[in-house]
Amino acid sequence: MSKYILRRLLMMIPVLLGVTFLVFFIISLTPGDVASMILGNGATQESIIALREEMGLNDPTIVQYGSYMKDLLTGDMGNSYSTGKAVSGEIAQRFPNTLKLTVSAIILSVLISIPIGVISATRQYSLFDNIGMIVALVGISMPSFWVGLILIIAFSLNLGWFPSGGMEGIMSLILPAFTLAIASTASITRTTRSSMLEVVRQDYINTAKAKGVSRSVVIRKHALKNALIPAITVIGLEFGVLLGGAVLTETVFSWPGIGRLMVESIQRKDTPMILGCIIVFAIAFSLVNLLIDILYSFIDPRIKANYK
Amino acid sequence: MKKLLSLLMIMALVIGTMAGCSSPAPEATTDQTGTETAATDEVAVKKEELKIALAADITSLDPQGHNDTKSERVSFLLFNRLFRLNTDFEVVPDLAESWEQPSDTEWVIKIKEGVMFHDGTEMKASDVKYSLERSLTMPKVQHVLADVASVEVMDDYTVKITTNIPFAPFLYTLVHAGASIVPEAYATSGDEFANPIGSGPYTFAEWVSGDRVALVKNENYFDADNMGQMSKILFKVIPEGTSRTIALETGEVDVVDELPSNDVSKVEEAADLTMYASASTRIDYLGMNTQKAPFDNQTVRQAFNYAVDKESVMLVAIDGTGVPTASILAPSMLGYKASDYDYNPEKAMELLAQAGYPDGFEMTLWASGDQRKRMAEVIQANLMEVGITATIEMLEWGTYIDSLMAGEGQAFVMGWTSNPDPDSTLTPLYYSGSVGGMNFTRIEDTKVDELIMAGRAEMDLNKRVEIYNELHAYGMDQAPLVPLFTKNNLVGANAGLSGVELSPQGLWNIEKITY
Repeated sequence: MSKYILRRLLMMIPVLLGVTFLVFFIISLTPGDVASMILGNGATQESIIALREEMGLNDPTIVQYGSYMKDLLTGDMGNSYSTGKAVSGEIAQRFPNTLKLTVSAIILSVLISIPIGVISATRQYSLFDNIGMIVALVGISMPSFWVGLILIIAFSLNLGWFPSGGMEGIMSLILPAFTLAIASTASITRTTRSSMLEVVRQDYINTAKAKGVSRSVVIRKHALKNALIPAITVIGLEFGVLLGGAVLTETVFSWPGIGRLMVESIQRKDTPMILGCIIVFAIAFSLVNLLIDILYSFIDPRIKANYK
Repeated sequence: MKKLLSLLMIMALVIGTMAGCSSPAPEATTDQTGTETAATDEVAVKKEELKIALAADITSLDPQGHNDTKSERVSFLLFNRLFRLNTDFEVVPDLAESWEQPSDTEWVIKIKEGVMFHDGTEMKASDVKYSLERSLTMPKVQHVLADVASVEVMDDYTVKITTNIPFAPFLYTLVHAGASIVPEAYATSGDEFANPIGSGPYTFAEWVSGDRVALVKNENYFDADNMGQMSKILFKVIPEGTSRTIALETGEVDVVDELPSNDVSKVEEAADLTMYASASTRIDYLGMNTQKAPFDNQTVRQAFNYAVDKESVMLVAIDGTGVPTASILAPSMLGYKASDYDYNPEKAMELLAQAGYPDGFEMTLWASGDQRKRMAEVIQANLMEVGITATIEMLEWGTYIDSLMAGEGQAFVMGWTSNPDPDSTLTPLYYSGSVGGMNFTRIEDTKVDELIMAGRAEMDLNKRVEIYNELHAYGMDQAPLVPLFTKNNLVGANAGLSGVELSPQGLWNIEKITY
């Protein structure tokens, strides 16, 4: 098992190399000159040329990439083009905020979606099932910025229960976490339901029932445990998506997360900051995936046997 | 089927309740005013903190490390400059006690004695020299004082600044945040302005990236008449326009800088809120590439100035929250002179016929971004009326700027926000040397060049105004663009506040705001 984990961790290195390489070249292909962007409208042509030279922007992209990677290996992610601050420091400030938001959202959606998914499956086509699935469909379909604004209008403006934005205390976390949780709740619910439906039709469930095992034990121990694998896969994917994709929610709720930081950096063509954010996303995504794979082995011993 | 029907009804009910929540019910409003009165009662005890919503985070606490208006809001409270602008954009002394001009290129400036930095040390002429010279080395603001040749310390409180050429707008360059005076000892200490030390009416408390900047009143401020009023100022970053307005409505912030134009009526109608507006220095225009047919023909360009209905463009683009403009710069700029063009499609068709296009022509109109797209659509409809078929092409912003610099566009929708002195717009936009840069209309005209050069060297204000008047008249006769409108700066604030002031650059003199 530990060998397996080590191998997976080592595999992150080529992933990171690939990701940084791709992003670096895509940014270099986008229009807009970094030096003139830094210097602003009033800059003279000479000062732009001088700064380009100083920043090494005239070198071929591959050379620039090489020098970036050289610094990166020593732990130096460079300084932001637009603020001049160290990228690593800025990310260290912003990433925990996003993590806080994402973890709360995922916990919230797991707590809601698994029970609903299970009940829907065990009472297929019942009123509960129909409502559950329609609500899930609506949940998937609603854009998060719209949900966010509606929640703000209802719960901040009219009821005054929660702050409308910012990051001060637990109360300010509730609305954005809920907004973020809605879409993932919907998809986890649907996955749980369909995989439960598959499992409850298996022979061993009938066997268990025939042996006289109580209904709740059949559902919890025999069915749910086996139905969880696809659900966990989806949870892992959703978690990864939320880590990088909370941009709209972070914007609507003025949450100082890393998603917003990245989008703002892209608008400013702030290459070191964009790369920093992407690297953090890639690491986070890989780690979450690894965690999910390890979780599988606890749920299904057959999978554990494969981890050598 | 029945089940499905009942389900749909339940859904309808749920949605109905939600909608009920979102339209402000009368009870909710009374409730709000109720809490507001409670809040006003507390004001008797005095509210200590002023919360201001910003549309984006600041980029730097180093006054010479940024060149954007959000960071300026904070810099202006932490630091002083030798001069500052009042709300009418006139230069008034800030740190300067007195000044004289021994020659056209020399400025001797004496600073006030006893100005203390936040760390308790006194500001000296050496700090002034250091700061102005530092400004020239800082990428973001090196253009601000580019005409300074040298700074000499005469005595502890006097400096002599020499400029490269006689430069009329020189004092205007000293009001820029990039010309802020920083303490030499601190700036060289290696703290990189993480905990900035300035001399301004407020001192720094904390900056949480992407979230907030907190400042505390400087009790030892040198200028007793312009002391900070509130004991704390908190800038909150709220990027989404609607969220900013809501934060103002719920009382989470007291002032919103950059209120979205579609929320203006909402703020005006709310009893506990006040709307403030000032004409900005920005001009939005329809540019024409004077080096490409058919816009290399002056008469065609003039025809366009009659063909576009500016009021409609403004209404669609910014909900009417601005003023139509009639010249090459915004009306608030020194030397502005309106042209005589009015909305007159017949006259436009007449001119087009005169230019050899009695049946109009086909053209491409470039735009980028949502607001410019809406502007382009109105212009497209206007042009249709005079027989011109314009096809709108949308470009991504970076490509847009690059292609315009390269002169690839035919006609385009653009905007420009000016610094206080007109020269800082005239040179990049209309000078022949700026073709390939920001001179997107690619106008290369000796008379325009001469007038621009004369304007920047003329020290006599009245004569300078005359030169610019002439430039405006001549420029609009050349008509490289159709000026459309000048946007208003929109600020929404709690009605209990006093001292909210706006300049053409928006929220101004924040230290004066109080409950």
